[in-house]
Amino acid sequence: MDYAADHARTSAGHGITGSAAVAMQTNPSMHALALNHVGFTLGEGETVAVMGPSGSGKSTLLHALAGIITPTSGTVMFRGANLASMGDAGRTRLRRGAFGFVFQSGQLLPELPAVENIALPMMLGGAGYREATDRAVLWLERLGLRALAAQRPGEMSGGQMQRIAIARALAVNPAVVFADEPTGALDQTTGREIMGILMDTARANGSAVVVVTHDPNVAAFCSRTVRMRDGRLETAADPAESGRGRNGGAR
Amino acid sequence: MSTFALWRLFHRPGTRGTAGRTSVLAIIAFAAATAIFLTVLGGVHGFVWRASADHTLGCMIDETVCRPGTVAVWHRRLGDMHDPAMYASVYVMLAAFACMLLVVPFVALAGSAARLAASRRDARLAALRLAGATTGQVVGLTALDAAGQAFVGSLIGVIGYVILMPVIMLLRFQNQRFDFEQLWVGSLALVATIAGVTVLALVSALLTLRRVAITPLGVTARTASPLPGAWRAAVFAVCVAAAIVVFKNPFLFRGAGDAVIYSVVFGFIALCFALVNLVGTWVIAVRARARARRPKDAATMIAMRRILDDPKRAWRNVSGIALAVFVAGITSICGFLGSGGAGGMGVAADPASANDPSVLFLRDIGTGGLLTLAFAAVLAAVSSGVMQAGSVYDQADEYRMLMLEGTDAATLGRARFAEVFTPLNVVVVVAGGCSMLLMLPLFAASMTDPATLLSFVGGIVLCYALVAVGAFASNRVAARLNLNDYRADD
Repeated sequence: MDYAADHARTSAGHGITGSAAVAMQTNPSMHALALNHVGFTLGEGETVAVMGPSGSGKSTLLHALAGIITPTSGTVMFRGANLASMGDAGRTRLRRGAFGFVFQSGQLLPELPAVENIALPMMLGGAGYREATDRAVLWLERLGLRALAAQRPGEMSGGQMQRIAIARALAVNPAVVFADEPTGALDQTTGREIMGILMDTARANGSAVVVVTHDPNVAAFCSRTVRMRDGRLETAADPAESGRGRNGGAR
Repeated sequence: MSTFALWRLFHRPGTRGTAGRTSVLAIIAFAAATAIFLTVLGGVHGFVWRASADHTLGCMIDETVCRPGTVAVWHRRLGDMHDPAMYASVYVMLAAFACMLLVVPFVALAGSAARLAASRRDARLAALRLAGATTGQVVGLTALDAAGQAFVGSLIGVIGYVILMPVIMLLRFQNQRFDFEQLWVGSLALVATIAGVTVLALVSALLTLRRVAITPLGVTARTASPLPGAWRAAVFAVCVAAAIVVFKNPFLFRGAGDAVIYSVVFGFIALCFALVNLVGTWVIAVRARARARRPKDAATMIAMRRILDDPKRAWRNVSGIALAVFVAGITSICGFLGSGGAGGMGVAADPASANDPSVLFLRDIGTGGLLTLAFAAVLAAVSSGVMQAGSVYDQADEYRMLMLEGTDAATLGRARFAEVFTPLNVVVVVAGGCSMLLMLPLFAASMTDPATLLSFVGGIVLCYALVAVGAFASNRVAARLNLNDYRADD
């Protein structure tokens, strides 16, 4: 099954396309496929929501697309390179420079103040401390969080932490932002606000977004929604009915 | 359900995981501490055996309780200028002083083992509370864990003591080797040691748990840890200055007996030794704050912020080493006495006097100093290695997050090294400098002697080497963690 067969790849080759099977050991004597022949294509600047019940393989798909795990068979192509056959060092470099991550919670380093949490990926990419923190401060100002610069995650609310996480994910100008239940720990109002910020800043940056979520309200922010069940992608949802949410009209 | 039944529930085969791995680390630490404690105790027993007419402690203290006939023989030996027995009681005193120096590294190791046993149970303890277990049951469960690990560790330590014994028998003190009878502390002492280590772990675990609140919603520290105040540095500086003044002006105690002077000197050394513990956290926090102001790369930034997050933890990682370096400073004078010192006094130059008790005594001080340093360094290295490996498990989630973001293993490794070696460098300067300052007024002439400096530098190199082994071991632990196995509830 190739869900994205009818989707054209971007001419610049900026998107991600994957066709993969990921085996996950659930029992010493048997292997279950966490991803079973999944075909998925992501266009440049595209926003896609991945929905499905618990254990359906949503996060595994996200991890395979981001090069966190490699599929046991199949390919994950990004800008002409196959992540599945790339070494760990290559995938690490890619995650550092081309991808950004926003997770449900716990993704900020508790010891670092907000400004250094945002500066960290830039420093990992080789930027100096001054340069990285200066750019981080600009991101804080852009998101109206300048006052939080010296605060550590333990001193922030959940919504503030997610804003900082979004700033950190986008600070390296990634081609793709991967978000795994980004509003899962937030109330509905704050969640909506966070999704708005994520989508607006990603669009301004030209970054594509893949959001894993249980929440249809969150999925509505994306231009396209795909559904998973038992490690497979269900039939293609019509973007007109699934993705034209708050964000859809603008795309 | 009783606490013991609860404990058994969690100790069925195959129910451990990370908790099981930290248990192994705690057991290793308890075993090393027990083996070294018993070995040192065996050494002291050996010196007492040699310094007593009928080889018992009671007889050494009070001659009236000696076995009949033994005292006269002993007095004849004391009168013989060529018999090392004339120095036997001084050997016991020096061995006791060496033990005193080893107490702090020993307690540090036992404490870190107990802390390891009591910590990293957060999720399980909170879940137990949520399921209806009382605070008492949860505390009891953890204390039982710690005591159980201490018991197993101390049993292994007894085996380690027996294995180490032949090595100690190779050493020559008073121109003779130790034999089994001298080094064997007796079954009563063994039982007492096992019981003591177990109780120490139990008390340590209970004290650790007093500082945390175990609620059904999680385990939280009752108090935030503010950065240590500068008053610590002031207290430390005043005490060291006072010690130097006293050591420089021994006439202050001219009226007092030798015993008082020895007590004052040993007392001040012990006080400064204890104060290194007090000032260590502060010095580390100051250094980390300075380096965090403008870190040169991501690894340094992560490491310094981690240190500042909990300077006490950073200090605990290297406290044993700091104290070992302090011991190296104190015992470096032994190197001088054992080699150059004896030559300088013009006695060792004559081969005929090589067996002279006074020459032997000085040489033995050199050997004893090195031995004390080696024990302190091993205790410290085990303590540091165990703490580091424990913190790798502790920070597994953070490592996982950093890996997701594209942090390469080399950067993580560098961060971990910086987290250990920055405090280490600082405490080596403080502890080493402090001990040299204290020894300078007492042995001014010898402090610039190559033998002294060589012994001191050798001690520091030994400490660095052992900590590096600990750091490499913890890196191996980190490498074994499956950092990519991050699975959210999808």
